[in-house]
Amino acid sequence: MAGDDTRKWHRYLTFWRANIAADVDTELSFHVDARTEELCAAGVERSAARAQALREFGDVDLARRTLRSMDERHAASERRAHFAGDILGDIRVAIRALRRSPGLVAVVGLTFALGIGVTGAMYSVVDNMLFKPLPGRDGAALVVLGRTEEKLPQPHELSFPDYRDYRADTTVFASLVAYTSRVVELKTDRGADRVWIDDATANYFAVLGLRPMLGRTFDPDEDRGTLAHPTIVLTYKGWQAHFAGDSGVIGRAITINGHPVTVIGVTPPEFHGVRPLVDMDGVVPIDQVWPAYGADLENRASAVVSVFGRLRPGVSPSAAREAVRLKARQLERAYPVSNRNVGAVLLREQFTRPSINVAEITLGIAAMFMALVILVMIVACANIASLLLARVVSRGRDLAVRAAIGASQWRLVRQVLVECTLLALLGGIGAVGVTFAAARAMSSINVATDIPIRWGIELNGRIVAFTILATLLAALAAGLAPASAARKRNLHDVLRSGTGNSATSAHRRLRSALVAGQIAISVVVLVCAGLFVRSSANATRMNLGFRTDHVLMLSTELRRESYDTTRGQQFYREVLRRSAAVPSVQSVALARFVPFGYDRAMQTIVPIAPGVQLPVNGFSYFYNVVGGDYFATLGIPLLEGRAFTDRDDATAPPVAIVNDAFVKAMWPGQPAIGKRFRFGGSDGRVLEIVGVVRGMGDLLIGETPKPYVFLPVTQAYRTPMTILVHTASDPTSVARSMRDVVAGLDPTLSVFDVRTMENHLRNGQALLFQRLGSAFATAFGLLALVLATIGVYGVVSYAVAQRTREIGVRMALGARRPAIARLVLGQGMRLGWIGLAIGLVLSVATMGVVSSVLYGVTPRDPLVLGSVVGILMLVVAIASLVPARRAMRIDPITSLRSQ
Amino acid sequence: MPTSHANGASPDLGLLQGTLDVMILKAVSWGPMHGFAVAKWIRSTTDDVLQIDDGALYPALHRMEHRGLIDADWDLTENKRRAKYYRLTAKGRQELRVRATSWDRYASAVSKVIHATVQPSVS
Repeated sequence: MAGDDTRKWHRYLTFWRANIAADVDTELSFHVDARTEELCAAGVERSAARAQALREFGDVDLARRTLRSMDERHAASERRAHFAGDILGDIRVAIRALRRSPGLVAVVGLTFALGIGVTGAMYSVVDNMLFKPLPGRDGAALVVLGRTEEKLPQPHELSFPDYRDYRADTTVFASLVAYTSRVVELKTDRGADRVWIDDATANYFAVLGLRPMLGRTFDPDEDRGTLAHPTIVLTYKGWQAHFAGDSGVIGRAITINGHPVTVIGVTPPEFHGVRPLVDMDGVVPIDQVWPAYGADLENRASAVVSVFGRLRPGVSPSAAREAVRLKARQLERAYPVSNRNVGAVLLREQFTRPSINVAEITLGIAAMFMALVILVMIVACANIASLLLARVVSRGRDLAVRAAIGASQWRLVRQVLVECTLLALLGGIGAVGVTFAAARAMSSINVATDIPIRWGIELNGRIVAFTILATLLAALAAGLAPASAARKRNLHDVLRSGTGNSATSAHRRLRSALVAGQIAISVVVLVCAGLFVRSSANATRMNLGFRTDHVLMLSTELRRESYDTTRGQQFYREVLRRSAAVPSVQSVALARFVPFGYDRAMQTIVPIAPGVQLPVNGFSYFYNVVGGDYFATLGIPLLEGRAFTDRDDATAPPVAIVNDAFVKAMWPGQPAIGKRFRFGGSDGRVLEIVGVVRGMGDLLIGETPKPYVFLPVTQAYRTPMTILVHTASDPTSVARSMRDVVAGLDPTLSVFDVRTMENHLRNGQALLFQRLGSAFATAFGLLALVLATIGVYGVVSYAVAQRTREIGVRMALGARRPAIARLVLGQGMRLGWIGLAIGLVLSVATMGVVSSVLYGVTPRDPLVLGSVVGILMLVVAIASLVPARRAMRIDPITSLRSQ
Repeated sequence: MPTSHANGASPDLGLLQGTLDVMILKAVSWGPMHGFAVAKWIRSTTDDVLQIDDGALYPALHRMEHRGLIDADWDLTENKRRAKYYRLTAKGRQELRVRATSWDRYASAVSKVIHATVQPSVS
């Protein structure tokens, strides 16, 4: 069989060169035949003569095989040498040819640079978010352990006791790290700052495999006890920001939240914490820096720590997943209240970015933007293909002459491909600049007020490889159409025709199809951009179930050493009283968590049915601790019962307000007022429901409200708290007075996160994807539009140049100039309409994919589709107008004489 | 009739190859010649003393062609059969001269030893 295949292969090869196998056979059989003839002539009988000739020759087969392989090796090396020489020649010819047309080089180079550069920038963001391993040893092998619940299917953080059990019991992990992030006030000699730090178990750096740049990292038992080892390892960024890179920082005493902490080390610059988008300032051993987590770390219902680690060598991912699943079951049996329906998932660290809760969305969004980028890339390539195609056609005579003097078709094709690759390389160099410009532009996007965002765009091996690959693919894609045109050129036609640029109708059609195609793709990208912009606007306007305008928020944290519960309550009462007196303030509230904020908490709820003691049966629900006129301030309607009052204090019976979703989940169809439940598991406090409010958005815009419990701060002291005021006038106008209220009570308190609710929603995580989506899609839409404009302009002006003689004839025969302009304009507009029609069909067909992240807008939104049609036709008209004016100015006499 | 070696690889191939090459060069120096003619010429010239192993002749021809010592072209014999004719190139002629000279020196040196009349002096 192999022999058959070889023969077929050889037959195929004979198109290009001598058939080695056949030649060897002929030569050897000639020898044997000649010897046979000689023997016959000497009188030997023919068959005996042949036998003797064969015997004399020896092993004919061996000789045949030897000769074939010798000749093939030789031929191959000849070809290689030949090819290398030819390519060098091609490059020389291409450089000469390109030097003669600097305009083309500029336009094509720029188009490549834009296409490849933007693709590269987008890829670098995706790379940082999804692919780049964490710094340290073998970051790609890190795994993340997440907790799932029946009521909360997205994986999320673990409780610390669960983490300890996984770490101690499971045989699959070589190591497991738990950490949690928080904002603290870090004070040095240079001043105070609110910074993000990780609280981590002491094995954090050891598991990452990260060595300190200065000092040391944690000792193995540095996380033992509570507040026993107040130390911090600064990140490079934190070291630069707070110590200006002072190398004597090790051993320095600073304060965090007003408590002394010792700096023990500084990490290398490439380490920014383990959350890909956040630039951390430092890492402290868990529960060692004030305020301690205390009971939170012992509570199995309180999912507070993120967990990552490494598998034991030789443990397969599927075995590890199975072991984790079994362990979760075991924990569920051992702790039926807190771990009811609690499962665990094990994921590769790279698939849990930027955080395990939203990892699924991230992947989808990243994929969508990569697809968008690739579309832009295709438009760029189509454009270049169109421009080069025009060039091939206009150089028809040159190519025909070269073919006539013996250049092979392959040679001509290669010439075009070499030219295209040179242009792409030129573009690739420009692309590096574009990548960085685009990356800088992206870094300047203000995402959130409170989180130090780091896009992490930097040149690395993968990005360089990606750019090179994109460049080569682009060169090939853009060069293919012109190259095949060069191959198919009909020699006779070209040499006969005087002009040498006899664009056949097939070529013209191909070029027009390319431009129409890129218009179609621009339509898709623009529609996508339009949908995101609309959706983003809708999301801002969407009724979230609470007041979003005329609300100002500011937060403060009461330090535990100067504020016990009594003093804290006193402080809150005073803040509420004094704030209410500020002019323009309508109502004031306090809240531990604000809707769509970055932190939230859950608690185990155990309902108590009157009379009957139900079996242990808890639910994990979000809760908030509020004070003042919370529901009035946020305009949340009270459906039943009453709001909290000042009389709900420590001496009164504990009360709670729940939302309608809570009632529906717990006691559907029953009156809720007066019902009681335990808060915090089966031994938690018993709370009585005194009011029911309407549910509101809290995590995702457009979500169905989740069951929610509100506690009065007067009965459940918490810190930090956010003060919310509803104002009659512009909420920012009371910011100064509100700061003064806090400062008037305690000038040492720091006030942070002063922002309006509108700002909070726009910059916060609620609208983050929407905003990024519209920003990126708009940028790409504009880019695609620019590229399509170049394309239309190129094709139409080329057509005008080609039809100069025809236009001259028409004018000589009496055609009026406006009619000529209409003729040219019509050609451009026709392309526009065709592209538009295809594009609209494509958008409606494909935009269903993104509809899940769009709010209040369908892929067929008439406003979006209408605007895209309008903008595109306008741009096409402008792009064709320039060549149309040129056509109008053609002088019939000159044009006829020139041919 | 003399018989050829049946085995393709004779133990003194190294010597044979060098010798074979120079004999082939000499053969084709008379004019274009196909492989069979080369073998026949060598055989008859050496009065059938040197048996050319055909299995070694053709690889030698091809190797020398690749090295540019000889050139090959397809042509028809008197009997109108297609045969591959080898021809000496300029480079091949140069090679023949060098090889012939060194062969002469080698042969005369060996001959001197074999026919020596002076006994070695034993100390």
